[in-house]
Amino acid sequence: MSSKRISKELNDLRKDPITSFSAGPVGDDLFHWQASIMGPPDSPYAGGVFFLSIHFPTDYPFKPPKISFTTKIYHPNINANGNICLDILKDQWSPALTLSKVLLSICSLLTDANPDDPLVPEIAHIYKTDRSKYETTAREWTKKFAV
Amino acid sequence: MSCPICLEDLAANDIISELKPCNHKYHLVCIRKWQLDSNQLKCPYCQCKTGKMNLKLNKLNSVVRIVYDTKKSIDDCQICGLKDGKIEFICDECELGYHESCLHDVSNDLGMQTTWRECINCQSEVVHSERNSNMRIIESFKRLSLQDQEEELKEVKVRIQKHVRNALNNYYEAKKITSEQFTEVNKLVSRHLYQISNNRYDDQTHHYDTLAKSRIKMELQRLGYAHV
Repeated sequence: MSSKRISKELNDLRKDPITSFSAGPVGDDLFHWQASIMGPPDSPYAGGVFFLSIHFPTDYPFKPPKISFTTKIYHPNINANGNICLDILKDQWSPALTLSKVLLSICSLLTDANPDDPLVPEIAHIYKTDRSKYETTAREWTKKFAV
Repeated sequence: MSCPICLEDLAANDIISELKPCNHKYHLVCIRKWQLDSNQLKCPYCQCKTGKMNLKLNKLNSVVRIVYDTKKSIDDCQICGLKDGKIEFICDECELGYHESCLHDVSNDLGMQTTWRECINCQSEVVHSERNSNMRIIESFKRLSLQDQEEELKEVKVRIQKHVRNALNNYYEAKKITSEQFTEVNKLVSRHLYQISNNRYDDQTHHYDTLAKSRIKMELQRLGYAHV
């Protein structure tokens, strides 16, 4: 079922593209995709383009896709390896979610970080105690790695 | 309308299940796979807690026939695929279990309220699991105790024969009887001793050596094998 469902998602994305991100397979491998997310305008990531690597498991959609940032980003829920701490990519996964819904969730994670469930505690601490310092650093990283 | 799991259309010929209370519809195979995989009863679409799965049969399905390719377990209801509650009915032929309420649902959907007591797989009558399991327990108990009895009897025979053989050996070593005669008399005497001790080894009541000796003497004289 997995390849059929992935093709279906790809067709839907081609038919109705979404402005905040783009996504598609890397070469011929339907199970390995690349996506790019535009930094949300109301966030310190505005103006940046962030690349992500996506691997669909063979039992997709019964298991979540593996998604990680390949562009460096300063964020409490994303670590140096690009791993993302997002519940729907782990225990809150549902087969009714699509890649497009997941990428939109990642976009909103960029706007509203979740410092109470951090992957990088140091960034979460700064986010909570000194928001302007966090925003400055995030903007600097965006300029340096994502523009 | 499409199935939220495979994203394919919910076609007229497909077996569709509708979750309660949200009424979201899925292909039966899709939702059942997810529920088995994730071991949870939540609607994947709206995350509401769902009860058992309801089977919707379309007009084209005159016969309900659902054979799951996943776990065929007597613990799962073969209609809703879940273990929750009590699996009240069992088909002895296929060893499949059913919730009573699910059986009712299916027969109501088919418009056959009277014949709800039938296995979806083979159409034979399902029996109440309690009666069924009780019978199974009794049967296996019977089998076990029979085996035990046999084992016990064997041991009794061996112990009694030991006395008979000892006594017979004296005659054999003195070459008063042949080995064939030994076997024949052994059989006759031992059988007699099993009977008088009621198939139990009881050397408190019975003095087996003396009993064996006198019985052997009697048998040997009767058969004319040895003059004693």
